[in-house]
Amino acid sequence: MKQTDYQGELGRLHAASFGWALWCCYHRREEAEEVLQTAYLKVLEGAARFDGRSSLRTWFFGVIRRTAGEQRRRRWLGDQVLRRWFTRQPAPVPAPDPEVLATGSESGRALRKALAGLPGRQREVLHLVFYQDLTVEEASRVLNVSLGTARTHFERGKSQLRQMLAKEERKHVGQ
Amino acid sequence: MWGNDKNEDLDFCDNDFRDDDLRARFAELRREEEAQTPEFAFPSPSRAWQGRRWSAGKLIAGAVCLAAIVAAVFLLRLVPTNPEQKPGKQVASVAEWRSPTDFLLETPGRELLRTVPAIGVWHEYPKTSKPRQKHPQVRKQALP
Repeated sequence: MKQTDYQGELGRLHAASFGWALWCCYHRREEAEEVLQTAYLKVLEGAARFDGRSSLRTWFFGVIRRTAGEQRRRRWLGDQVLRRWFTRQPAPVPAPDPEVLATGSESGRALRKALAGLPGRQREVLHLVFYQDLTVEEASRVLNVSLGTARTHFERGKSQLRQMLAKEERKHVGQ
Repeated sequence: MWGNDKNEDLDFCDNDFRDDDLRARFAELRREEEAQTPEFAFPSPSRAWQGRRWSAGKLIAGAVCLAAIVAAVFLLRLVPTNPEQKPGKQVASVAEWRSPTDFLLETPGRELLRTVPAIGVWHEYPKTSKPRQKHPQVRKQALP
């Protein structure tokens, strides 16, 4: 695939890619933008190459996820090790950006809040299937897990999410 | 059997319905988030070159560190580990070395054990040899 082809295809995928990057970075907008740019740079430099074994979307989502993981590890090293040594204070646990969580509609906020309470893998599978309209099989490829594992995360995630949303709704009705 | 199948079908329909509800919620969220998506900006080749230059810089820094480590190891091997072992000083051979407590093994009459006695011949066995060197005794001294 030529560079110009990549550019066109990734341009079409940009909104979905940004949405995925945002979820991989716990809804921290600046971090998501940085991750996405680094992922594009990897494609441009040839550090990440599409071999045609899956769809371009699945492959690029995998690149974004890996890049976000690398960035998170780098930050963790900086926060956990250096900060702990110099300030003798424990590093803060990564949490979703409260400003982002507070924006949007009521149902959107409730969904974000509920998803933030789910384990990482479950959240990722649910996002890929419901938000990005991928199949569970494609989601398993993005997450680099077996189909069975992805299905398990999907089912457990769905039931937990429903419980959380129902709880949230009951709370609202009670108020 | 039939009843179970029917229940399963109902469960499946219910599940699908609930999935649709989740899908609708996610779709709404996607619409909200897509409105905030920044413009697509594929990095220019110059930025890629900068990235490569940065990685070349890292490579050079790594090579310098490696060279420094090798040099440090080489220097450490050159410096003698024993401070008494100076370049001009002669070191006694292991074959020539004798223990300072060897004289303790020279017990009286030890020749009797090494020689075959002959009848009518009188041997004047030497007395125990004295220690070649008297070792100074270290005594505790009372503090003034």
